Amino acid sequence: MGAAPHIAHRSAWAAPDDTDLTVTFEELYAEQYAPMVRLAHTLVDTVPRAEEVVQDAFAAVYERFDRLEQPAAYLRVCVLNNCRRVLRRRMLRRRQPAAVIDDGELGFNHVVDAIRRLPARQRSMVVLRYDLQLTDAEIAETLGVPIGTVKSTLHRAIAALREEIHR
Amino acid sequence: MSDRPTLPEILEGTLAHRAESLGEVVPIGLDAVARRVEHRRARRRAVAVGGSVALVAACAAGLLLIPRGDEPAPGAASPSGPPATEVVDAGGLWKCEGLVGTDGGSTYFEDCEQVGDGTQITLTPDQLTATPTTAAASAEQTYIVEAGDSIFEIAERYGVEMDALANYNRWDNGIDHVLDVGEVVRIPPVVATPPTTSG
Repeated sequence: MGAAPHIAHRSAWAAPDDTDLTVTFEELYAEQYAPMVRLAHTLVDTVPRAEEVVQDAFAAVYERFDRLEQPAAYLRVCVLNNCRRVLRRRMLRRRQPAAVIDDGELGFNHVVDAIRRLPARQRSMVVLRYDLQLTDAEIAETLGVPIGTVKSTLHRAIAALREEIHR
Repeated sequence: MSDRPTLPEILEGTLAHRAESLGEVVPIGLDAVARRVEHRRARRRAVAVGGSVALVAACAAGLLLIPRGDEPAPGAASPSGPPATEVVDAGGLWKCEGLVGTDGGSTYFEDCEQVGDGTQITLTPDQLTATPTTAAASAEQTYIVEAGDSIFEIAERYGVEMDALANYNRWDNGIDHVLDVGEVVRIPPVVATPPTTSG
């Protein structure tokens, strides 16, 4: 990838005076590929589909890398947006009769299915919190929303999941 | 004290277990990403030959023709009246999801996918007579906000006025509306103006 930008970026969570924590695109790729594929897999079922989503997200990050303040956060948003498109297409397909629902390598899971059926914003926050273990502040920064929005959205998401799972 | 897991614990546990079950995820080579970058760039913008009503109609119907170089495709419909069918020689055949808008003589599309290297396609009478305004207005364009987007950029991208965007989406604060990542912005239809004909 000859044209890969070797522009140093502060790691998303580095302290301002921490000049050693800079990230090139290659480093971001090596560090984030697996976690992002696991994140996407939660939402889109199969590893090939998850990799497709993640590679597309990395391509989007690459195209804007020299303009990004927070490449890791932007990457997460791209992955989530791509997953949303996949899920939306799947919802549309399900309206047709005799659609085969692909449960992927790990089979059907009631909890994961409930997460997938949450509204997009709630779903994103749930996976960022419980899959990537991000804090409220980190989620707020990733999605570009106030911390208060994160707290209230997660609260609603948990309430919705509780009702769904204990049904 | 109850030792039943809380819902957050169930969520973490379920997702962690699934992550482990996946096993090791090995990144594919960066050259695959480079190819994907090229593919995205090719997909993102495709330009119809300027001015031809027939071509704009065909594009609005979901077919987009990209002639070789910048010269107009040979056999393109002349303003004096297209025949019942039209055969157009094109450098590549693309299928596009959305008509974005026109800018002078060029028409821009989003989400284009190359479906063949078709050197010829035939436009049916329906495609030739469909007006771009009808075709463009039939499918609502939407855009999902990504991190870093601004109303200005979205308006630029789709060739609409910021005020038009704000009104169409009924934002209380007009163009001072704060975009949320993931928010769906509806794009007002762009009325594509066919070139004036002389006959």
